[in-house]
Amino acid sequence: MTSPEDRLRAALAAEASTVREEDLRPLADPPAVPPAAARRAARGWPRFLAPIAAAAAVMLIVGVAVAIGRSDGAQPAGGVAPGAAPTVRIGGFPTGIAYDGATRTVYVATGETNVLTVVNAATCNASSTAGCAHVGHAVTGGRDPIGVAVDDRTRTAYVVNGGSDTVAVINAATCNAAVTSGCSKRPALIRVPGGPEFLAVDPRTDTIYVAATSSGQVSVINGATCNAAVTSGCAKKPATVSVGVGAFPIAVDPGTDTVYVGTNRDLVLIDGRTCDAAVASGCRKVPATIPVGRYPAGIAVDQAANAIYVSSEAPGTVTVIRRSTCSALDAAGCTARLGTVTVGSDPRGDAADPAVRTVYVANSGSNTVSMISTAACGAASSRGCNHPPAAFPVGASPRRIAVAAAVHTVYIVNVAAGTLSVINSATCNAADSRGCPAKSPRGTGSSGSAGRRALGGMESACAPAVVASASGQPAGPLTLTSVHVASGSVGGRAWSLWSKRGVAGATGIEDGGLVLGGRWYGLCAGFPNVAEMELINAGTRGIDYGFVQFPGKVAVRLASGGTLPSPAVSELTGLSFFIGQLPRSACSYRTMMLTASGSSGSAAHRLSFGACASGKLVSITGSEGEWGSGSGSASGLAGSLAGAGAGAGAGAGDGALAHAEDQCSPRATSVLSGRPAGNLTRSSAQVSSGSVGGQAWSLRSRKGLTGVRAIENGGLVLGGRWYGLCPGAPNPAEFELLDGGSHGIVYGFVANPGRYTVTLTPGWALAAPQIQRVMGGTFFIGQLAKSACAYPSLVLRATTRSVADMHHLEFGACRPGNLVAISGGNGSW
Amino acid sequence: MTQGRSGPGQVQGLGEEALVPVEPAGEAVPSGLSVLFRRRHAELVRLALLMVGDQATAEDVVQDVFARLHARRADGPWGEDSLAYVRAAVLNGCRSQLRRRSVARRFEGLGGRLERVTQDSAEQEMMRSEERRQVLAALAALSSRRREVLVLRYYLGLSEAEIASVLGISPGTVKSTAARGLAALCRRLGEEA
Repeated sequence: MTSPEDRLRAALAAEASTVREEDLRPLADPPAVPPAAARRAARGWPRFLAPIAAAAAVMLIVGVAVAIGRSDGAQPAGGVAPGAAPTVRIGGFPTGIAYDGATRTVYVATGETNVLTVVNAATCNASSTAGCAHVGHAVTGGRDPIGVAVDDRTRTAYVVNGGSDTVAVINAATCNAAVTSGCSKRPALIRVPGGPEFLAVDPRTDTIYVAATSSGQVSVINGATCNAAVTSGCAKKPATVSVGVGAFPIAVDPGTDTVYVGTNRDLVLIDGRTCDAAVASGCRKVPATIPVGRYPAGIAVDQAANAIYVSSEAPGTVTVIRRSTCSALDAAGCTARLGTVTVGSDPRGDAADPAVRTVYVANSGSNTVSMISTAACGAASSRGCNHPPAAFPVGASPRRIAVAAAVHTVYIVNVAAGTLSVINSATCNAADSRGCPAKSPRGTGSSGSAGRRALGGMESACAPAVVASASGQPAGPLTLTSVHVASGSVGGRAWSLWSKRGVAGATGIEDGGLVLGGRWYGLCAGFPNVAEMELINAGTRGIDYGFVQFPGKVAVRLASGGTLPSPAVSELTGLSFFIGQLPRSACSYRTMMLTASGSSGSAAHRLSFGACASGKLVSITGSEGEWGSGSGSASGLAGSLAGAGAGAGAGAGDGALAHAEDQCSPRATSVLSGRPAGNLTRSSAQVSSGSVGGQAWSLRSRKGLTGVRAIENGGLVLGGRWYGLCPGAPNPAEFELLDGGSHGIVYGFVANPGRYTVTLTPGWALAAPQIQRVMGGTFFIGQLAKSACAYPSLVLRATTRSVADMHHLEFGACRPGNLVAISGGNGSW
Repeated sequence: MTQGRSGPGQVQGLGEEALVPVEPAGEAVPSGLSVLFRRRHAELVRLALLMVGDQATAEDVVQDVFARLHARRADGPWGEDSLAYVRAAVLNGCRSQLRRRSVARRFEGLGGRLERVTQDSAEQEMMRSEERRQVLAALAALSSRRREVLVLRYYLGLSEAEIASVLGISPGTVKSTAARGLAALCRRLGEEA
């Protein structure tokens, strides 16, 4: 019998041995910088490194850009692009938001700069943006302010300093849109341990409920003895309620005296009648837990609709619960559901606007806001809950929402963009979306031109405008989270290319970037842009770089206004990176055409350029591209672009398919699904066929390949359209869910030999799948009982007499005719 | 796979290489601090890994400590005798990382990203042997202080006096913390069995 000491020694040694010296990122010396910049860096480093070491480099650098670039105060976001919503520049990681109707003030907690930003809702709203350029700041007396809530009766704004475990007590009467005399005063602080983030106020009892994520406790603060006027009770230790780890979103329903808190798994209900500022007898009682989608992140209580809307990050859904039977007064109906609405990816905050009968949901992963109709999906009727709600684009990573009904405005905090989107609720709601923005705001969003980010923007926060505005910052933080994949020198300066650690392919480069002369320059090359480039204003001669997502050797050429003499091309896995010096200054090029051709594809991409700032990327004002598979000539594509100014046409589909063949990933498969099967049918052979739901299907195997790779590089053709599948290591049992109208279609492949039986749970989901044994594995396909949008998750069990594989998938956004996005999963085999 | 496998007691004694000359401040000349860090890089990352559980974070912690110390006194007399101080700084970095992580997992602005990182590591998890997984899981459930003492004792093989100097606590406290930590670990391992 081994002693525990020996077991511990062996485990520690084995674990430590996984760190191999040769794999370590080289230690980076902090860059030598001039004194002023050094001070800035000294402030900046700890924040970047300690709390958010794992965050994307692009996000970090956006943070730097905002902190440095916006120290002069807020600016409107460079005018309003046509079709985009007006935005307010907030800067540095804004998160929590609250609207104070008494003074028409919007308060935004701004984490990076440790202030409460004050926006005038009377002059910056749906009908007037005159005041959007002028914002004020209040001292919060702590680090990382996150949640903010206003107690109207005591005229107090409470702000959670997430990094200091305190709540700041700010006088809303002397620090608001009109009066700022009290903004610079250091506020009284209430100590709330355990990682507090968000809070809610019950104005009826003057109680402030603060949810702490790591301790899983809700602190109950007496607002009557700790507010703008009275601070005698601020030092008193608040009563606490244990709700569970991950206590995060929190909302109060004053009508029923109920506090709702989301933990990692559940929604938790606290009885405010026996646990508030005055009475603590019920605080020790174990609160009721209500199962909702994993990681609830937003709770909106709509009294008029008699419903509670809980958004959940992992499945990308909003659970709708009847309010009158799920409160402190009556919790009998908490487990019943009015519906589960599928919204965008990673939904966070939501807010109800009863005036327009809409619940707005911030989809932080999709950079959109969904609008749920409370009339069609509430206590009165739940028939509309199954329809994916309408959504509109906002800035990068929207998180929290405040409704200012008096000025018909919805304010949305975009964390990564550092902005506030200003939406007209009268013309942009669940019933009427005519006034909704059609595009993301310039400088923050995902779309430069209509074709450009249509797909990419849905999947990634990488946006050309964000990249351009953040470019030229010291590369410091980037090199800590990325690995070095190529290097060389251009124009006498050293360059190196970095890929985000643990992220493959183009996405890795997007999250990493180019370092030139110690400064960072990014690049967004998500789908469908197979060939992408950027232009640096680097003095008398511009530098151009980009990458082409074909494997193998690629020839790169610039035309229509610029030529790139002999660029250096580095072949990486599945893509080629190029960089070169232009004959003239970057500012002298208005448009440029990139053409790339290789053995497996060709592409042409025309970009138009705007403002050029020294040492930064030249802004991109428009783009069009075409790409095709096979060894066709890029010049033909370039010709069609130059001639008719055609957008990405049918070619885009083929090109995208070509790309998917080389890097099978569920994300790519989902984004590209539903395209005409086109070229695929020529490069693959049918290995099985049948019909499902009245449509013919054909399983295709890529010519020249065998087994799983042949299936991955082939796919399912259903009704003439392509749907992919990525089985293989580490997921031998893989499946996809297709939104095929009133009945979803599920298909999958078990990449192991043997006679597999396939079932899906919930048990009734897949009545009688067709099972075919092909290519050394088992293919199955079948029609579901309900619409694909109705399944937040499915579990596949593939069993033989001796093997039991399980694969659990969670689903996000569903689009008709496309694969439903996979938002998470796990499995065992 | 070289140094780590030898397990406890692998820390080299203070040899000649410990005599690191004091370098003048400057960009080109490596400072005493960078010499120390570069030589001890893998070891420090391993130590951090055992505390925080994933290599990327461990590397970030070490880089962070390096940057902080660099900002403070890059050209100081950093020799191997500073190793205890550097280890203490790395353990501190790990502690604040762990404290932040429980917040940061849901931290606005980061939640999604961090979660993805956690998912990536699920694959690695499967590759670890079940035994190792159990022991590490039990270790991870201990308080930071207990885990630190056990890692310094059973991974680095430090003596009670050395652990006391790294953690800035008395040797008596090291002894009792190690005993309690080991007992708690056994309890947890017993529960799993």
